[in-house]
Amino acid sequence: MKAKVWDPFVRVFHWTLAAGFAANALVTNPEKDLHHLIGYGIAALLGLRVLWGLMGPRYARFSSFPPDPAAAMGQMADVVTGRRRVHLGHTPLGALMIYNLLLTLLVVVGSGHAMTTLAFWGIRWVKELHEVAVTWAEISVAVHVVAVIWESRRTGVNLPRAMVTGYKEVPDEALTAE
Amino acid sequence: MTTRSLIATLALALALGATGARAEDEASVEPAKEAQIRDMFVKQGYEVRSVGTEDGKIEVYAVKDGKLYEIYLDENLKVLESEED
Ligand code: HEM
Ligand code: HEM
Repeated sequence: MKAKVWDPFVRVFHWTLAAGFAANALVTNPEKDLHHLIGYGIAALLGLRVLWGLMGPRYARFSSFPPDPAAAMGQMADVVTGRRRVHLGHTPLGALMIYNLLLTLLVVVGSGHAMTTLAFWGIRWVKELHEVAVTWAEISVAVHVVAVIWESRRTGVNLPRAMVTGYKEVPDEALTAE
Repeated sequence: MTTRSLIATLALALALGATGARAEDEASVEPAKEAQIRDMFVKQGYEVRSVGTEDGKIEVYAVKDGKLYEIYLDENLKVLESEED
């Protein structure tokens, strides 16, 4: 079965966000304009994603992947018991990671901007907040990527490819859930 | 190792490496020296926000007349560079 899940905006959002994040975390010099420019670009992407989460198509909406600890436990139980259940939209664990990433990135861009303002210029805790939030985002991204690969192998659905093409290709014998 | 676990390992290594590489650079300046630096800039009309080090140089964040300054000093408190942001 082939299901259309990610609209073009979500896909472009995802890969631009990933590229911008990688550039700022690993490459750009934080004291230079490029770092700030990319950072504000990411801020704009996050803003658009929040709007899209409120009024975009079905699978892009926050209401289709609410934070749901019980469902997340269920997914972990699937992992442990070897039950293959495919979620068409974001999986419950994936949803928690997405909120974690979006919120952490908001802290990163907020503290980053604050560092350049008169009110917070040179204030040490603001810089430390930026650094701690970046570190947390990096750890989260590493877990995110490992989890995506893990879940792709476990469920037989190539998730990174779905984030490129927009379609999840679900093996016929798999159980599906929302 | 399969390609996928290789990618996963690389992603982790990259994240941890990036985090570790950043941890070293923030040595602090001795309190006596910091007091001396603060004093020096306050006398020139700056509001000193923080004193730290970067790339082996002393780095001072300060504000004067609503303008933002990042000033680098050497060990002998000689001003090497004063950047206005
Ligand atoms: C090679 C690196 C990456 C791969 C393979 C990857 C893959 C994926 C996949 C497959 C999904 C959909 C998960 C699902 O099916 O529920 C996803 C979602 C997401 N990823 Fe990544 N990702 C990568 C890097 C990143 C980075 C660096 C960030 C952020 C800094 C990021 C942030 C997100 C966010 C926010 C979502 C939610 C998408 C949305 O609904 O808008 N990803 N990623
Ligand atoms: C996702 C977006 C961002 C990422 C991944 C990121 C990442 C980083 C990293 C890794 C550092 C180096 C920390 C260190 O020196 O220990 C840094 C520093 C900094 N970032 Fe960002 N940043 C982002 C967004 C922003 C934004 C939006 C701004 C503001 C316009 C900003 C301004 C700064 C400043 C002023 C510094 C301190 C430079 C210094 O050492 O004096 N960043 N950032």
